[in-house]
Parts: sequence; C-alpha cells; structure tokens
Amino acid sequence: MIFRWSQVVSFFAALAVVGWLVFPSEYFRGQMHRDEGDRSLSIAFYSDYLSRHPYHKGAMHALAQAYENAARPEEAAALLEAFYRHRRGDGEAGREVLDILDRAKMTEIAKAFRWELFADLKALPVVDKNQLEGLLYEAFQQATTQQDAAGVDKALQALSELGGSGRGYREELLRHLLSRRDFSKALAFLKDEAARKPRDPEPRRMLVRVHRFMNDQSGALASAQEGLRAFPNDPELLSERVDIRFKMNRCSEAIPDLKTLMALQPKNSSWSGNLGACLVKTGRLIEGIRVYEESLKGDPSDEQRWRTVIFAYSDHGLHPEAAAWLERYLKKFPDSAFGLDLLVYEYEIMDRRDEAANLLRRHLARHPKDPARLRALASLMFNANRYEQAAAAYEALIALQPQDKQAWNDLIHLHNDHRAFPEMAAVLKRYRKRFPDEPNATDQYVYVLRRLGQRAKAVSVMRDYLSRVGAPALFQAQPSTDSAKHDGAAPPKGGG
Amino acid sequence: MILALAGAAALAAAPAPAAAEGTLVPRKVIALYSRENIRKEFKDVSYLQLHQHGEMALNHLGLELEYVEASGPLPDPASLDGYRGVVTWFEQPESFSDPRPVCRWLSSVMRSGLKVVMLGYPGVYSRNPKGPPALSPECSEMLRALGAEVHGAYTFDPLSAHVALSDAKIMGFERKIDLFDAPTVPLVRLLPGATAYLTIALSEGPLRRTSPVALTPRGALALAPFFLYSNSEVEPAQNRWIVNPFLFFEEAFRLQGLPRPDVTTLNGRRVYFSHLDGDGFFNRSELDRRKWSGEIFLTEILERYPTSPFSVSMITGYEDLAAFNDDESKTIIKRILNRTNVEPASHGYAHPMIWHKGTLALDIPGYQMDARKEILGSIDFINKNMLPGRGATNLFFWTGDCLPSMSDIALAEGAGVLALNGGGGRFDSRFPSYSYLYPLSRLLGASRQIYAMSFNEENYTNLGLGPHYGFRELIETLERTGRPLRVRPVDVYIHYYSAERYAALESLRKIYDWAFSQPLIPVFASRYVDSARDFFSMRVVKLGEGRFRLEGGPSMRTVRFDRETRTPDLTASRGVIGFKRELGSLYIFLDESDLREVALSKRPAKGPYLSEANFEVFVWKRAAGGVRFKKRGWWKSQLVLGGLAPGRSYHVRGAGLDALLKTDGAGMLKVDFPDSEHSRPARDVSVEPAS
Repeated sequence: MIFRWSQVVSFFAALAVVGWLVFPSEYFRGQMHRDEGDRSLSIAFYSDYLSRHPYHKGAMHALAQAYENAARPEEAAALLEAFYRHRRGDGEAGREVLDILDRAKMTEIAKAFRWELFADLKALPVVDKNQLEGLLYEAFQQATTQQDAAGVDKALQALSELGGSGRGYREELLRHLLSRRDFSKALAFLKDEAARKPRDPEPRRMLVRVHRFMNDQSGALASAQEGLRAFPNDPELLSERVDIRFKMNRCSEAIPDLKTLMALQPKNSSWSGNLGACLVKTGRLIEGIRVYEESLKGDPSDEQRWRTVIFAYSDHGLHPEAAAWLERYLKKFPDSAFGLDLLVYEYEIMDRRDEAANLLRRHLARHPKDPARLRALASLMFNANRYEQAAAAYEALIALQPQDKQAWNDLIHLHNDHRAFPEMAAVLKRYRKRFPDEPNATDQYVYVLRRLGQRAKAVSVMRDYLSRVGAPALFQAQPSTDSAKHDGAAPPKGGG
Repeated sequence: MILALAGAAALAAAPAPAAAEGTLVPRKVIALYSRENIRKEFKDVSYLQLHQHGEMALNHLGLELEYVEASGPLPDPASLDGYRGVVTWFEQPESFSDPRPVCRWLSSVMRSGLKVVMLGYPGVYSRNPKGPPALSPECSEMLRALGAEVHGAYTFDPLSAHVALSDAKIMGFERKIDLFDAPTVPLVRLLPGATAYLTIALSEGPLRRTSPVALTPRGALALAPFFLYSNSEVEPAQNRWIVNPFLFFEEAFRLQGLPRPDVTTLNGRRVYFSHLDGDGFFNRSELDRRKWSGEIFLTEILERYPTSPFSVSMITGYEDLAAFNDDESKTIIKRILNRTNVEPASHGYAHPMIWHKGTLALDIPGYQMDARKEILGSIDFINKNMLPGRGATNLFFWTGDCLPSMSDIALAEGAGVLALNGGGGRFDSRFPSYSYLYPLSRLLGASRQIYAMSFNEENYTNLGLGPHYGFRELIETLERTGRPLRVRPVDVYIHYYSAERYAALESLRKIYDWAFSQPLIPVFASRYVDSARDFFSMRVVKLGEGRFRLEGGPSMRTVRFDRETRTPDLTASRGVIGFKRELGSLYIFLDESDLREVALSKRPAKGPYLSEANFEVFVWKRAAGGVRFKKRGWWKSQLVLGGLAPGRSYHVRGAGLDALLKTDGAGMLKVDFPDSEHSRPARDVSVEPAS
C-alpha cells in the first residue's frame, strides 16, 4: 500500500471539510447571513426555507433572531408564538415566547399568553410543578404591582390549588380576599379550606369571624354550630357562640357553653362573669350571684371578682349583703377607696349613718388630709341633719383646701338652712376676704346682714362693692329709686 | 384718628427699608442619613433611597439637598440660616447604634424654626437585644416636637383595619392605598395642630387610629409602607409613589407661591440635547464590517442630521494603543470633532470603570489611574491634537460607574471643566414611576457632579447583550417626563456602539425622529450643564408679595411658578423677557444678566414679550412698540411674540427674514425663520410695527 491508513483517513476527512466549505448545506448558508446589515437576506432566506420546511426549529429561531436584529421584534414574537402553538405544551418554546414578548414590551399579550401556557403545561400527563409555580408567581406579582385585583385573585387561586413549594399561598389568598372585603369569595374559600383540612379548626373559626364581620349573626351562629360539631371543645368556637348569643339577646342558650368554657379554662374569670351576668339578667339572681361567689373562691386575690359579687348585690337592692361583702372586701383591701365609698353609700342607704360616719372617721384618723372623705363626712352629717358635726367637717375641709369654693358654699348653705345667721355672716365675711368682689357672695352677705338687722352695714357693703366694680347702667341713671330694689337683691339659694 | 389711619396706610404702602432688602428664600435642605443604611461596600450617598427616588421631586420644587451623615459631627442649628429644613429617609427602623444625639439635634433644629420632614422609617428606635426596639425619651420628645407620638408598628388582621381617611390630593398618586401591601403599620398618634393625609382605623391593637402620613406644625411625616411602594419579587423591581412627592414636599417645606429655577425649559420650549460617550468607537459595525462604529455614527447620524447639535466625546487613551493608533481612525475622529454640529468633549484617557477603585477599561501599558490625566489630561490632548482650527473644549463626560470622588469633582471644577454624567433614570411602562428618575446632581462636600438626564442605551439593552432595539423605549420616558409634569429636559444619551448594530441604530434614528418632531429647543450639552450649575447658584430673595429678586445664576434662564394665576408685570420686573403658561405652571423667561427681578401682577402683561422660541435670545430690548434681540439656535427657527397690538402688521427683519407679518386677535405674532445659526454667531432680529 502506497499510503498509510492514517493518511487515507486524513485525506477523506479533509475532502469532507473542503466539500462542506465549498458546498455548504442550504441551512448553513442561511446561518452565514446572520450578521449582515439590515437582515433582509437572512429574513428572505429563512422565510423561504421555512416555506419548504415548516416549523423547522433551527430556522424558526434563526428567523426570529433575524427579525429581532432588524429591530422588528413584533414579527419575531408572532413567529415564536406560532411555533409554540405548533408544539403546544413545549415549556421551553413557551418560555421563549414570554421572553420575546417581554423584550418587545408586548405586555398585555404576554399576560394572556402566560395563562395559555399555564393551562397547556397543567394539562400535560407529567406536570412540572416548579415550572407552573414559577409562571403563576410571576403572574401574581405582576398583578399585585399593577393593583389588578382580579389578576391577583386568579393567580393566588391557581397557586393555592397547585399546592406549590409550601409558600402560604392559601393564607395569602384569604388575606387578599378579606382585605378587599370580598366576603362571598372568602367564605367559599374557607368552606373549601375547612373541607380540605378536617382536623384544623382555624378555617371554621375564621368562617364564624367573617360572618360576624358581615354582621350576619345567624350565619355566624350556624358556622359556629357546624364547627363545634367537628370540634366540640374548641374554646374559640365556644366563645364565638357565646358571644353571638349574647349579641342576639339569647344568653340563656349560652349557659351550657359558658359552663364548658369554665371547665376548660378555669383561670379565665370572664366565663363565670358572663355566666353570672346571664343568670342575673334572666331573673335567676341568686343563682347568678352564687356563680360569682364560686368564681371568687377560685381566686380571692382577684379584686374584679369581688367587685362583681358586690355590685350584683348592690345593684339588685340587696344592701345588707352588699355591705357584708364590702366589709369583708375592706378587710382584704383596706386601702381601697372604691370599697370605702361604696360601704359608706350602702350604710347611708340603709340609714346606718353612725356606722358610715365611724367608718369615715376611722379612715380620716389614718388619712387626715383626704379631702374627698372629709367632704363625704360633711355631706353625710349634713344629710343626717347633724348641724354641728357637719359644720365642723366643712370647716376642716376648708382649712385643708381654702380655695375649695364648693366647701365654702356648702357651709354657707348649711348655716342658712339652720338659720344660723351670725355664723353665716362670719363665714361670708371670711369668704369675701378670700374671694373679693364676687356678686353672689356680696348679695348673700347683704342678705344676711339685713336678716341680722345691720341694714346700714349692708348698704355700706353694697356701696363699697359697687364703688369697686362699678354700678350697672340702670343703677347709674336712676340712683334714688332703684337703690331700694337692689337692696332687696335676690336671696341666696335656700334663703327665705 | 383719620389722620392716624391715613398715616398708617401710608406707612404700609411705602416699602419699608427691610422689605427693600428682601428676605432670602432658603432653598437648601439637609438630608440627614445613616451610613448604616448604605448596604454597599462603597458608602456613597448615591445609593440612598432619598437620592435615588426622592431628591428629584425636591429639585423639581427648586430645592437642593446637602447630605449630612448623622453619626458624624452635626452642624450647629444656630448656623443653619440659609436652610429650609431637614429631611430624613432612614431605611431601617433602627438606623443607629445610639440614636439619641440625632434626636437631640433634630429637636434643636426644630426649635430654631426649621422644618423636619421624616420619610420611610423614623429610624431612631434604640436597639434592644432583649425585646422589641424602643424609643428613648429624647427620641419620643423629638417626635412629639414634630407633632406626633410614634408607638412602634403593629401587624394587623385584614378584618381589623380600614382606611378611615385618605387625602385624595396627596395619597394614591401612582398606587392606590392597599392594606394588603402592608401587613404592618406604624402606629402614629398626631398631636394637636397636625393634619392627617392618611388615617387607618384598627379595630384592635394598642392604638385604634394611626396616621402615618401627615403635615405637622414643624414639618411632616410620610412613613413606610405608605410613602413609596416597593416590590422586589418581580423583575425588574417595582416602585410606585403612594404619596404624591411633589405636593407632599411642597406642603411639608411650605413652598407654595415660590419661584422654582427650572432646567427643563428655555424660552418656553423644553430643552433638548444629545450627548455621546466615546465607548465603542473602534467596534466593527455590522452595517459594514470594514468600518468602525465611529465612522458609521458619523455618516448615519452626525451627517444625516447636520442642523442638530451633538456633544460627542472621545477616549484619548486609544491613541496610546498601537492597535488603534492609525491614520484612518485619526481622520475619522477629526472629521467628527470638527463638524459644526458637534461639540467636542472628553470621555477620559483610559476610561475609569470604578472611580474609587481606579479600575480602568483600557489596559494601557505602564499607566495607572490618575484622575488628573483622565480629566484634564484627556481634555488637553483633545484640544491639542484633535481640534485643529476650532476652539478648545472644556467638556467632560464622567465614565464607568460615574461615581467620582469629591477630589475628582473638585479637580474638574477647579479647572473650569463642565462635567456631566451619572444619574439619569427612566419612566416608562417597565418602570412606571417618577421614583426611577435621578436628581439633578450629586453633591460631595462643596463639589457638585451634574447628572445626565436620561439613562443611555446600556440600560435598555442589557449592557449591550440585547435586545439591541431596546433603546427605542427611551421615547416613552421622554414623553412621560414632559407631561403632565415637565420634570426633565430631553437628553438622548448614547455611545458609539449604538452604531455597531443595525437594530440599535434603527432605534436611535427613531428616537431622533421623534425628538426632531417635538416642540423643543436644541442646545449643546455644555449649555445644559451651565444651567444646571446655575440652578444651584441662583439665590432667590423675596421682596414682597409676588415679588422676587433672582441673584446670580445667569445661565438659569427660567423660573417656574406652579398653579400661579397672575402674570409678570413686565414694567416692574427686571430681566424678564417673556413668559408662557403651560402644564398648570407659569414659566417666566429671564435674560442673560446676573440680577433679575420678577414682579407678578393680576393685570395682563403690557407690551411685547417672548412667548416661545426654539433658539436662545440675547440682548432683548423693547422699543417703539416692538423688540430687538439677538438669536442663536439650531433647527429651523421658530418664534412667538405676545403682547403686541392685535391684528396689526409688524416688520420682522434679520436672521434671513425681511417680512411683514400680522398678529392674531390676541396680539400674538408667529414667526418662522428660513434657517438658524447653527454654530455661527448670533444674528440680530428686529420686530417693529409697520408704518
């Protein structure tokens, strides 16, 4: 042999290469046009090629590329769309369509195409969930950004149905529906969710809440009933049902639920409070109060529970019981102003004024500068018609708070009531010294001086007052005739 | 008594000496920021949201920002006389390791009478490793002084919240309020005197009504997430203004009725310029593989549009690379730079890519980054070697990341170089928000970098990877930034590599065809840089109601009054040559002098005035019922004069025209000149009543 095998092989290889270069395939010749100017040759070549080889993948792509390079992306998009429709369900081809639509800024077409692609991919025998989720997530985020509520709904609905990568799409959909107050869809979604998750009480709780938010109490009640059939001891569903029944003024129907709740959550005093309130409201007063008392036994340190018991007695006219509970309450909470005031009230209403006064005095012995209780004592004595004690209490109050006009007025009133005009005059004199030129006090002072027969002094007081504050116009115009009228100025409150 | 009243009235009518001096209208606002908010290695203010999104609106209202780092030494509040207020846009709830000094400073700033505007997060929560962040007493007090109590944030159930109040004027600007966007709301209780723009009612939680957007007696607040909506889950990330930043800032800084220097408009026309960075000159063009992109650009653009101005730069370092230093390229460069419609500029020596690191695009043997050589050296080289027979240039286009250091900018400023680039922005259906527009400038210390007004084709073509026709989308930005608010001039900002590919060049032609069909005023880029610099140097002094003195900034030749119903009193004003009411604003045109006065009047303007021109006007003189002026411009010149006698003939002479033209019924005279000056000297024009 003249040539070695390697030389023979090399010769034929070189021959093939030269042949390929000299006589390239039609397709390769087309490829050579790709980088030329306005792409007219390339476009013409591939268009012709595709007319003979329809949907040839390489040629389709090459023609699309040529269109793009010729700044004609709309035609590239139409071509790639046609190619996709020819190979419907080809995810890669679909993605290429989305990409070219995006590059060409054909946004609305892209939006519709995304859903078309999604439907096609979903219908495939083997579904690539990640690919579908990617498409839907894009649709969801774009709709969110564009505030396209229907688009968000659609995307989230599809994402929820898809299951996806574990993102909380269902929660997101619910939140979206609720924030848009789209309650009918939210309810439908929650019913579906409840059916999908039979062991999860949350959708059923939410169903009740949505009905209640819609002010649909009967719908809420029905949802709560249905939820409680599946979860009989769910505290939230029970509490919703109690609340609904209270709202519907059917609290007696809530009593069994309240008892269940008290057993489930013994530390929560609101259940017993509600039960007691319901019993009391429905006329089962003593039974209700017993519930309060039982609840108090559960936690005697809870001041609120004490108050509930006390008010239950007091509000229903059971004053001796209320006073007894208050005495016990004050032993436990000796500094409670609430207890002290209410017990004083209870004693007073039962006409046990001495006990009330003693209670206040004992308190004032410990807290001599407590003006509220000093006033309460004075008022108590006033009402009990104990003039000296009331006067002393008011004097003490005035000594403590000299600017307290109410105390001064009450003391003046007290003296006037008891016709103790000298004392009244003395108090008014002191008062006018502290609060000069008050017309009412001047009137009262003039009045009391007249009662005491000190007419000249009364005139002098009035004249002195008018000289300082100025006389009314009428008075200035007719001094001689009107002075008498003014002398007999309106009597002070309680005056004769 | 009557005499006394008359005397008082006379006193009120006579200008008081203090009023004659006028009161400076402060235009500066301190932008207080935290370095901790810049999540980049390079701690530059250009990465701040305030700079990227908010500053543009403030510029539009005539304000300028000075960035001050909150952890550094803060200026003495007593020394802030020329300042209007402070704006904060902290990007995290806890932006400082110790926010108390910041709060104390803000309190004292408010005490000195400056407004404080708080955006985004309050940022002044103290870090608490054991629990939720808390407000220190100093910061609570500062917020109370502002007019609000802030009680942290609350994550709410959608059933428990609804929008109780939303001021339609301020809220829902680019995006409707959607509580679905905001699972968490800041809890803000306004104090007496504050006005809520947005109130959300919560049926549960520690506060039942929260007002995160409000005008307060000492400023305003617009807290996240109700200020700017952001969604980075989509590509590209999306922003939308929930609050109308223009109206909000106007209210917050009490800017109603004040003039705003305006870089967008000249003689009633929107400003147009086109500038080119020198990159890609030596790329072979697919339109003709035997030619550089530079040559294609010359023939397909510069020669195709000979009556339009272009500011074109070169990278001079190619001259030191043997592969590019040939006679052919030198010839093409000279042909480009010596064209009459070309304003030469430099784009650096070795084209720094990252200025603060000194990385370069051209690998020139033995050369390392040297800012002086990049800026001054390259300009000098162009002047000496590339511009035979024409005047020197002092125009420089920043390169690469366009983030020069303070010293780089100072170097350029000190040598009188006009520098441009950086910033930009777009506003189209991919980025449908004003928040994507950068401000006018970047201020570092006392040195200011003037930004380009658009993104170049890189941003539209995926850094040149395609789609190569992407730049055609610029037209949408140019349209949207022109109306309903004119917030930008038209800047067609490109590189030579736009001529490398057919699709790119087609897109560029589309853009130019669009621009040349618009009512614009074409100028060189240096003219824009001049006016932008003067935007910042102009001082506004209030002389009285509707009367303002404009000091300095002679290249800034437009001031704008928004929603102004009055017109300029041309007799009482000084340096005012005309006006035009457009887009709800009154644009007032100024002459080239250094001291101008604008007096507004309820009476119609008397005498001839410029209503519109697509050329520059100099030496404007009103005489004998007409006007005389010099003009210089590009394209075919167009002019509209107002304030002339209705239905009367006027003799227009000069700039190639000698014609009798008649005014319309409103006294407006429309003049179309046969040509324009292009690069030639200004020509005289006279408009006189025909005898």
